[in-house]
Amino acid sequence: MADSGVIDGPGRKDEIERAKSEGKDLTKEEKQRLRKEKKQQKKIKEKKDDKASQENEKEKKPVTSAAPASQPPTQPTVQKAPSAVPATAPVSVPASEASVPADKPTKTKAELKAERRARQEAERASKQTKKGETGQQAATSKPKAPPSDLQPVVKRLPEHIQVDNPDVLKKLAKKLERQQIPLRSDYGYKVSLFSHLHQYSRKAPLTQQLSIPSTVIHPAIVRLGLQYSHGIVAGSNARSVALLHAFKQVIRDYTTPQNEELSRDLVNKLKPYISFLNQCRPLSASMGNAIKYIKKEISNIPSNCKEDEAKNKLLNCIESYINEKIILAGVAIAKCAIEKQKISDGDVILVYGCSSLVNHILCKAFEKNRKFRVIVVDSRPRLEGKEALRRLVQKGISCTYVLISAVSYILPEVSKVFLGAHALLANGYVMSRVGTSQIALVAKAFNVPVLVCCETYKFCDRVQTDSFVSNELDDPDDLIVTRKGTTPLEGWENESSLGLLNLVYDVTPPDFVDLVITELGMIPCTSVPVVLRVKNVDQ
Amino acid sequence: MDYGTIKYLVEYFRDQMKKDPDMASAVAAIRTLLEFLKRDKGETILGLRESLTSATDCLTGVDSSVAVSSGGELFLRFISLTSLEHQDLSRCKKVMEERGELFLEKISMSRTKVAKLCHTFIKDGAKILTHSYSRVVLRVLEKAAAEKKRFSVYVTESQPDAAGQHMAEALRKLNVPVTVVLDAAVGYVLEKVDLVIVGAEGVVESGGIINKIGTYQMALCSKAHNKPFYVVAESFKFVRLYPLNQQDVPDKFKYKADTLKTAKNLSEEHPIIDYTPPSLITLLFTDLGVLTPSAVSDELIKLYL
Repeated sequence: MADSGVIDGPGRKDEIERAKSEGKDLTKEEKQRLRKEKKQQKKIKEKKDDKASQENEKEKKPVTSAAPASQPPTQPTVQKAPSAVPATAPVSVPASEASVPADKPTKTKAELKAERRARQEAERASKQTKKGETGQQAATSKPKAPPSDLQPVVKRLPEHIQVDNPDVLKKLAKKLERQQIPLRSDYGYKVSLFSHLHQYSRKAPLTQQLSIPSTVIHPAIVRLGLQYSHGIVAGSNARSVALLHAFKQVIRDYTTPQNEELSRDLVNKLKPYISFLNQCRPLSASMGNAIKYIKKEISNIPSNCKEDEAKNKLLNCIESYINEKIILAGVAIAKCAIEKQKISDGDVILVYGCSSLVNHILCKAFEKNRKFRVIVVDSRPRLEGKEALRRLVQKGISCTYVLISAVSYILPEVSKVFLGAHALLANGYVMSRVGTSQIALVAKAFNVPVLVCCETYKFCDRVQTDSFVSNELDDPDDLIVTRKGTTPLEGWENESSLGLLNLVYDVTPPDFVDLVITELGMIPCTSVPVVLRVKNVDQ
Repeated sequence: MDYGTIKYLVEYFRDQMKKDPDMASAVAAIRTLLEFLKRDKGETILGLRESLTSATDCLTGVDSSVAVSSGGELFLRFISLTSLEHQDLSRCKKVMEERGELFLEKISMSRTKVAKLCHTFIKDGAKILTHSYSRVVLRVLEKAAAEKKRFSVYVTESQPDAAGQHMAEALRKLNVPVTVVLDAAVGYVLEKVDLVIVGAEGVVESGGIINKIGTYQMALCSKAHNKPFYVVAESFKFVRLYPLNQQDVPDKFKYKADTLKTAKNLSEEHPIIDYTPPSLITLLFTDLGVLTPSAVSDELIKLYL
């Protein structure tokens, strides 16, 4: 009786799940079946070891909370649960097997039963979380809803960070433990609106917890991670290029182990490196696209290819990616801006912060003998404008330097605003250094055209309408030191009601941007999804 | 290009314009280019393209409107899409000529398509405001009148050439009640009006339009009054320009061709066109369909890439 119930249990469970989610009432039959299964599971639970059962519960929770319970189709839930379950199954199966050998006649049948049981428990727990989800959980854990559920092609988009959700954190900790990468802990009090983001301190680098020499992480990657976390390598293009160079070194030093294929093993080797870099400093959109490209290239290597040949091919691919998408794209953008008269004689151009692309365009225009002058706007605590100022003045361009608080004062003099971008989102929003949207807003109020310069490899599929959902928090201790060297905020951690917020990015709506210059030409901000579509078709 | 060919081209162009005053200047230009293609004795494809480009340039010298240059560029692009398939130059040219004829046929139907799309937006009893003389707008209003809709029209005088009077006469022939207003009276008359329809000389990449001077003012006033501002334009008027403001429009489009040649100081001359940014335009009616200004870039990418 119990056996037959268990065998067709999962099938009925799916139905019941579906029925529940569709809002239909469970029939009496289904309710009886549920009760029976609950009794069975209770029996099994009592026989299991306490610790093992606790572990099971904890592991089930992150699995199920990861599933978007608010979506009507539960197929993804059911699919995700079994896919995550094999990961937890190795833990649960030995426990159940060890404690319940007497119940099952043969070992193989026991394994099957354990698997089915695990699946049922997952579904039961998911039902419970669904009941609880409508209650209190909605406040703290935003359901990570991939829009892919409603499309025929399941396209996984990067999920938003949720640091204040302990289940997600545990899942992340488990993943890092598996990859043998130390987990970086958050530092200091976080402003409540941004409590879902990481906030690290520069005084506690990730590498303090690493052994030397680290066997898991390649030294080039360790170096890169440190350079990121200390801000030595900063700026979207610089970070992507450094990443690609480090990966080239990794590929050069890589040897395929026995009985493994390069195309699969190398991708698996890269995963812990990417987690490590993510821990040092969250990945940018451009880095994400570069990594996607590399992974695609690696997995496209045919299996009959010799190792040296394959490595050479990959190195060439990376070289050509850097060359085409970053260097040549910059040259094309500069050419487009200059030839189409976007920089004309007598122009007063306002730039913000230090964008390598914008500096390149201005230098090229100056070489072509355009007469213009530049106003560099800067902001604390990074003061990146000083670097831009240095580069432009070296070329001989006449510059003015102001802080962002003076923007509305000098804007009547300005004829155009040139901004760089960190990423361009699929709904046309521009993600850039914090302060950019403020400048775009003031420029719009003064009717000054705003031009954004961005290569197409920075276009990303994400959609965001505000700067809160996904951002980066920098070290709050950066805000303590003022220009004169005084530190009035030194003891900020001791003040319970004081929080320091050092945001890195913000998001500018497309209404404030008049023109985006890419290597494909000049497009309005709303045409970014068209470019993405054309690019996807090409690939 | 030798002087004889230039003269021939210019004469042919002028002839075409005289023969059919209803034809758009771009269509006449394309006809001229097609004729030029038939008579061209070039030996290479590259040489052919170059001579076609220089022919377009010299036509722009006669009529400096945006539409002529955009029409020429589109013609070139349309015919050269298949130019590399055949080995034999004469066969290539034949294919090009066929495609040219096809292109010409397509665009001569475009005004009818636009009229079909737009006339449904004119409701019975509507009061329409329009600017200067536009043959596309005339065609739309003709179609609406043919559908037995009752509407009245306000036309601006549109100095310095008083083209608005021309439009008013044409409308009177259709038995449409029409009033000619001063250019300065646009703000005054807008409260009585239900919708504004204008034509365009060129549609730019941002989704904005280039049209007779006074259009920008009209668009600003209709935005302030919350009246819909519709633009009717054929697809061959889409041009690869991206002006950021009025100053950014190249001088060669701003002034008439004769003025460009004879004037000593351009800053003393009055521009005859202005640029209307996409934020002021509600909808664009083209033979590719009814588009919002942000969709224009999408269509341009499809046309040109």
